[in-house]
Amino acid sequence: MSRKHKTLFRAYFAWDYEQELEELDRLSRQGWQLVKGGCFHSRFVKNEGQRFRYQLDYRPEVEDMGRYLEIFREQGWEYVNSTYNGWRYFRKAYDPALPEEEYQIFTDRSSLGEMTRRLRKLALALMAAALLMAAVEGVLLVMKPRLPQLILTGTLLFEGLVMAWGAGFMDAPEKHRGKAKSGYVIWVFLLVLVLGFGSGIYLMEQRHSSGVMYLGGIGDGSVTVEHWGEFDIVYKDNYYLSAETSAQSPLILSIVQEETGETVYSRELGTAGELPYIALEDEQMKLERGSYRIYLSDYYGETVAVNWSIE
Amino acid sequence: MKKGEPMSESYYYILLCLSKGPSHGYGIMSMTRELSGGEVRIGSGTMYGATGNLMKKGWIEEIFAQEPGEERRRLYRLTAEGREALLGEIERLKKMLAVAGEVMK
Repeated sequence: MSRKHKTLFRAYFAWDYEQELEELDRLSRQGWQLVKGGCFHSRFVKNEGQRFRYQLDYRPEVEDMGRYLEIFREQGWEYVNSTYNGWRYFRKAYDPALPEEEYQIFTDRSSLGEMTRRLRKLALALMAAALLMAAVEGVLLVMKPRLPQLILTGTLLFEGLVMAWGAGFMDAPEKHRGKAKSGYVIWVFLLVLVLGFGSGIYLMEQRHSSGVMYLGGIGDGSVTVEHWGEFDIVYKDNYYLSAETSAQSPLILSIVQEETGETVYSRELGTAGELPYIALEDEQMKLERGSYRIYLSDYYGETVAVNWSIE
Repeated sequence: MKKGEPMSESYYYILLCLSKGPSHGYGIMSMTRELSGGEVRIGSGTMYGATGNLMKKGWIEEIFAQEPGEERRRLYRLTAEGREALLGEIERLKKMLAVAGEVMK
């Protein structure tokens, strides 16, 4: 038994809606009739007895749905469905005797222009949102260079540029007409966004370690080295150490890689008149993947509380 | 399109058709085709946008006629302002033709 229904996961950029119409016409010729159009997937039913021609109207706000559908019905258009974001699918039974203009819903430049302007506005709004976010992420990237920030900024920039390209496309749609595009291009775009945002957020989450430690009470005046805490680094990147403590005498804070024993960071605290309160903020260091320990040396046994974090 | 600016063909024909009396969308569409000798067609998308814009301008209005034995029908009617706009456009076109007549003599 042959299949009666099928779902196609083809999707198009808003500005490529004519490509989608061509695709719907082609499928209709092959006997697959659209039942429900969608932005990312469409349902078809097998019916070889009839052929339809399709039209799409992008109109997120229809003031009077009754009047709207009536005007389409009057001219032989059957309403198929609307997508959540305002695309409206119509179809008309195909009759080869009818002139081609019978299958157009926009018959003058100004009304078609109104629709392309709505699409352009959409693309520009998305572009502005993406570029604004890219600018914010970009500032953070300059302040604290690190890999996930770079990925997020790049992804937003890419999204913004694609939208800018789309808006430019809507300025002169006729220039781009007839260039065949696959219905799967948008999935590549979405995949880039998902991978970009996903990996950026995931890598960001992997970076954070922090701890609190209280020491003290011994106070016999002997110099010791205390192990403050440890953390793991999952991937090589720039990391930022922040720490706060109060101490009465100078201390040395060091970070040592466990595997190699190498001291990757060391700083003398409290020698520049900073006592008794010492704070380190966003000390940049390049760390390889591995386990690290934080040590406090030249510690005189006084009571100190330490808060630290690595991002 | 502001007052006094050239009208699009669709707007012009919609107003022209309604100057004969109220009509529904299909009536406007077929009358336009007839009047223009088949040259001008008003598709559904264009019709919805144009009638909506003309209503916003107050040049046409929607009325519902209850004819015996028929369903409630939505009709469009030309308003006094709409008639004025149409006459203004006709004047503008006449002037343009007259100028062309002068120049091309």
